[in-house]
Amino acid sequence: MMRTRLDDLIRITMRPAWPLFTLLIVLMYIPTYVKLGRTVWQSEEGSYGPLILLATLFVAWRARSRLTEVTTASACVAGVLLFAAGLLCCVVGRSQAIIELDAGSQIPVIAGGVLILGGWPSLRAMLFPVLYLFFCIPLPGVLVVTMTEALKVLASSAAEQSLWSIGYPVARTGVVLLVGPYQLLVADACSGLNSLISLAALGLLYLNLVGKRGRVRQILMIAALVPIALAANVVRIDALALITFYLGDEAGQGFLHETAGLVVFAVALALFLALDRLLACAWRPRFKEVT
Amino acid sequence: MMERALLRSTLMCVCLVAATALGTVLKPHMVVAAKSASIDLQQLVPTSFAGWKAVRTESAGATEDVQAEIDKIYAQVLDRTYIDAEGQRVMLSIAYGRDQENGSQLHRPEFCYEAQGFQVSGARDGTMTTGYGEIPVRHMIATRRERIEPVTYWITVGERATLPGIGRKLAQLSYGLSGEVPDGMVVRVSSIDSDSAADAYQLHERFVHDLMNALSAPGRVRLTGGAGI
Repeated sequence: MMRTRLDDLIRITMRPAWPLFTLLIVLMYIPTYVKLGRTVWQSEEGSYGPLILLATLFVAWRARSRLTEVTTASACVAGVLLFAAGLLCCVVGRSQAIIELDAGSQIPVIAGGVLILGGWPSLRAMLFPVLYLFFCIPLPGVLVVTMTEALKVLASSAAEQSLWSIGYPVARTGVVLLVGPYQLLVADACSGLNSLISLAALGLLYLNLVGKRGRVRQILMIAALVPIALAANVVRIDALALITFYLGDEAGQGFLHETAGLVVFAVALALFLALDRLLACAWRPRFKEVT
Repeated sequence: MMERALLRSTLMCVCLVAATALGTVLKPHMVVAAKSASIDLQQLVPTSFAGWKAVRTESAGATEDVQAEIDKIYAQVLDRTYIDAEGQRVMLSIAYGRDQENGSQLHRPEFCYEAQGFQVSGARDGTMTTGYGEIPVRHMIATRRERIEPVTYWITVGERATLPGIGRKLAQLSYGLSGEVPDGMVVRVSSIDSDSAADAYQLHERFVHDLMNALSAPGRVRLTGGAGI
């Protein structure tokens, strides 16, 4: 008898465990976000950061009902390991001003905490928002440089070939395109890395929000993100090359430069949604003939 | 069962709070430069040695905003052009920063050159042999129109010579985890040479070799980080 009364008491005490955990996490990472807001989010490459955070909070809020009651589960060993590793990263990252480590520590800290409190079912419920936080981690400089370089070469050679194949006088040395009398430098900002990351973030969010898709279909959609983003960037470079070719250097560097970027990103997103529609048709159950 | 769940959750909360506190407490705050003898680059580096003579030149031509940035970051900057008996010219530039916290971290010469309209290519890492040991260096070629400038540089973090990237981060980390804020330098040697970068790098090596011989022992330690040299 005593036993159950005590259990009930604890159960009542534990009721606000999830909100409390959330509150602590938020308080703990406010300094990280303040710092991100002052640095990375100010730059063009990191400006999507606040949107990622909002999206994460929104998705987590939607998934909250799938969290299990705190008392029922336990995945202690894995949880404690993740949690401890995360805290270590946080302490080192925060004190040594390594923002990547500081921001990155959220993922193991939250995942570990969720495991300790609610076990695997709860983590499964929160898996998407937790992993989505990856987009909040500023990419380490070395990685950005390598990827930018590779993407630039890829994009400029694809742009050269595509323009050549539709009959324009184009040549290329490295990442410099020669279109008629003009010289176009495919700069770092044109590598398409940003639009690749943005499209991936938006696409994944879309897939999560629309839900039920079936595994194969979902994998197809995710796999399509990268080629769509890369192709869109090549189209953007082509468009800018043609604008320069017909309207001159100033037009190519002016507001059309920005506009072309936005338009092409919108087209990429539209392509992605169109693919989803297309796959929906393919997956629609066929009508059975009824006699 | 229930008690354990409660205990677990409470412990976890305590850990969260403790980690947040630790992250703040462990921030390094002991500025190494404040306790070691202050340095004067102009005095430290001789104006003539082993046949090299510093010559007066017009300023290297940093644009105004770049100069403002330089002044903000570095405590001291030395810019000299040396010329030897055969007429070979070598430019030496040393920038010293007292602390290596975020805001005032040394800038990679790659970015400095690019900020002034140079194209940087052919970057590769190597080592430079001096009479006092080896220094890890990065070579690169900065180009602006007809001006082709092979560059050799290294940086120091406290008493270590290293290169930007992982090496620097690790050096900073090892200082930072013991609570110290190291000072640092960028030592850059370059020459204008459109024929052969390899020849230019050899010239740089000879220059640095001569410079090391001419420096006082403490000066050598300052410029090379001192570890092993």
